[in-house]
Amino acid sequence: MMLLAAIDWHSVFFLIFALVACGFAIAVVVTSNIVRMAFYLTLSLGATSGLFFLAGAEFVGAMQLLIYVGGTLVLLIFGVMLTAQARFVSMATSGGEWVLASILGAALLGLLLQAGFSIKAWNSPRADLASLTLAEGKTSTPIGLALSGVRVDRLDEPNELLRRGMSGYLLPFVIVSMHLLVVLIGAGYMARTKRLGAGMAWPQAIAAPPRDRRRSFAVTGGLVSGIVVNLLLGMVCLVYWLSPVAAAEEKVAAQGLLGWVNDFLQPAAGWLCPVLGALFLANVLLLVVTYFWQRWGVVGLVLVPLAQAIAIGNSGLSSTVAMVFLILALAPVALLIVLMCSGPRPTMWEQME
Amino acid sequence: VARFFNEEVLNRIASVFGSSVLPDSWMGYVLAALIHIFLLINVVAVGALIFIWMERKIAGRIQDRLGPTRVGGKFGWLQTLADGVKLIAKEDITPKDADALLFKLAPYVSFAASFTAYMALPFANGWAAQEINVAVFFIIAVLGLEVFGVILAGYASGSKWSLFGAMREAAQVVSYEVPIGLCVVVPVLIIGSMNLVTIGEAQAGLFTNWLIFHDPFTFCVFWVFFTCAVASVNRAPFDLAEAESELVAGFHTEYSGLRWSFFFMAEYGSMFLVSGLAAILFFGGWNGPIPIFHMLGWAYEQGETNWRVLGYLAQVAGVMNFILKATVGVTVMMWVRWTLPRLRIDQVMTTCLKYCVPLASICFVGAMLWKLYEVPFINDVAPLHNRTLAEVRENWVLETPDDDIAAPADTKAAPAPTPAHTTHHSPLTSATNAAFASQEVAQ
Repeated sequence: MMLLAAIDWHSVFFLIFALVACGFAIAVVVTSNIVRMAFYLTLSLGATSGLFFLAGAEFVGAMQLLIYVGGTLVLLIFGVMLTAQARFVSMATSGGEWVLASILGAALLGLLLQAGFSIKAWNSPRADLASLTLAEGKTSTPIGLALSGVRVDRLDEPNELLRRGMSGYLLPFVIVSMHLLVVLIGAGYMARTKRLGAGMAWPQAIAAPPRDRRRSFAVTGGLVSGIVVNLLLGMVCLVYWLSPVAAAEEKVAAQGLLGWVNDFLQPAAGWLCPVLGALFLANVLLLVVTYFWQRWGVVGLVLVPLAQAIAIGNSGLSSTVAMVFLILALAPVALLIVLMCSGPRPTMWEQME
Repeated sequence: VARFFNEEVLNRIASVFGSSVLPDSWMGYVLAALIHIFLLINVVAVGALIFIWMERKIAGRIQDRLGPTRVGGKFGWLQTLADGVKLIAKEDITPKDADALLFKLAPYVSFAASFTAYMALPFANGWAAQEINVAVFFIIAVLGLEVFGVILAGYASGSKWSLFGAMREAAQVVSYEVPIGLCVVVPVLIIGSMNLVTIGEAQAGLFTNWLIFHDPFTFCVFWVFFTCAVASVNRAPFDLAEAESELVAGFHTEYSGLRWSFFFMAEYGSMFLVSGLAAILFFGGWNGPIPIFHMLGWAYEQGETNWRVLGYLAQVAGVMNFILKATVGVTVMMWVRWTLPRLRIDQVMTTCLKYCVPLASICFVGAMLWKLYEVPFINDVAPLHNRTLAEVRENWVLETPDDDIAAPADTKAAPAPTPAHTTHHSPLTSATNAAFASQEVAQ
């Protein structure tokens, strides 16, 4: 009884979880049956998450369960699917592989051991061990907030230089997630072409476009006038940007219409004009694309005014201006789409690629 | 009572053997753990006993039969026990082609996953075996592991029926984890915490405070959540893994006796678990529709540790509330099972990827915008409505010792919604808040 009372139960649980993790990790290597391997791997990873829970890092522990143990699940499914033909197939490991793998594993283990034992604080028990308690709560909140752009742990940092990292990990997080999204879409697309193409990777590009397409006069007129208007607007924006009138010192001096424009654009940021001009020119390109029977041109025509309105709204002008611009810019696009979808069959929209 | 019993009775007994069961001794620790485990395993085991009987009765009524009527009296309420005795008496068979080790382990894996998730499930304010800071996340993570047992069973049985069932189950569960995660995020987003106790307590007050009535999007997302929950616990109409009309009995074709019953316990355990999760996330958990115990001042505040008789009564009533709500959820699942035909596998996938995921995403964005702009809703004018939600997160951002440091940091780092929340509430909300406060003072 006294012996049991003297045991440090935290350490005991640590040892249990650690032994389970290591033991089943070895079992993964030794087993030759792929499904059993996956099962042992699950137990090993689950024990690792137990270690995290023991350390009070509940968020990381649950993450380990969800990602690693859940990921192994998929591995297991693939293991079953790929070996389902000849069941319980054994994956015999050749001698050379054993040698290579042991060298690699031993090197990694040596590195980790050396690194672990070289840290002083990890070698000797802390003096204030009795006064320590498990971290309570608030473990995941700082991580989540840092990912969304706030480092709560640095809010009360008095040093101005150290507070620079306040913005957190929002940018890396978004970059990584966009990267993953691209990979996902790419994988889906590749799987799709293979199935559709029946030998040809680009069936649509190779197929000859139909000759007898017809387009109503109204649509042609709309497209051409749209090209002209957008070209003019884009040129005006760019010229205004490049002209000396727009320079900050001389804004007050200009009179008449130019003066009014200057007054109107006073609160706007300097980048607004070139961005608007570039987007107007992009609109010209999209109209040309639409003229040559591509549907994505129409999609772009809808998106460009949206982008312009967002730019206006963010540049310092009032959101009312952005809304008025959006309505004015989207109205002709809407009219164009209505024209393209109406009329005698086949409509223009149906003929497009 | 528990402390008195512990200190005066158990400790006297223990001191005869020269040990102690006080809270800080190892025996007390082990005792507490054992009691937790005992209570939880009874929730699963006795719960399964009752739910199986209920399922028979409900199925009978829906099919215009009586269901069990004889075993144990008028309503046949001992039917499950008789079934249990029969199952224990059956021979435990392992097929010749089976992978014996995995075949024997699979039911326990399934059951353990379902049972482990109960560790984080609170039954009343603070009454959880382990109050985990990220309980929602933990439960979702562990619940996904139940399928492991099913796949192992399907593979290790050495039977084609079982393998088919397991493969279907794998595809289904892996797909439905996506919408279920999206649905669960919505209450977490509104409350600002992943702690289930906090989420439940934030919905105290009149039933208009329940998150399902928070805005139209949470109302929609609950139904998506429930659909996905039914699919993730492998119940009809999503029970393709054991489609008995095509696959004999699916993944448990080769199982018999007690091992087979473990799968059933796991299934009913998971049903109760997801229903309880739905009750906490959307239906106020252990808070009744009318906050009687809060009005009387009996209920515990969150984090309160001293023991009070009236507080204990309030807690027990809370447990009743919670179990009632979860049981209603389980009953609806049974009702659905005996009403709808089974879906085909492609229909299951279509439901998930083409309906549930987009719906959940739209509701997620909608609830976020609703929260961001503090849009008033009908229940704002309801009496006893206090919108004290999302305090956790905002306190975190504004929790600074020095104001002149905090001011620039806030404007720079905190995104626009954070100051907006704290500075201006809609006049309607503050008025009702004031009304709530004055009522409390009056009482």
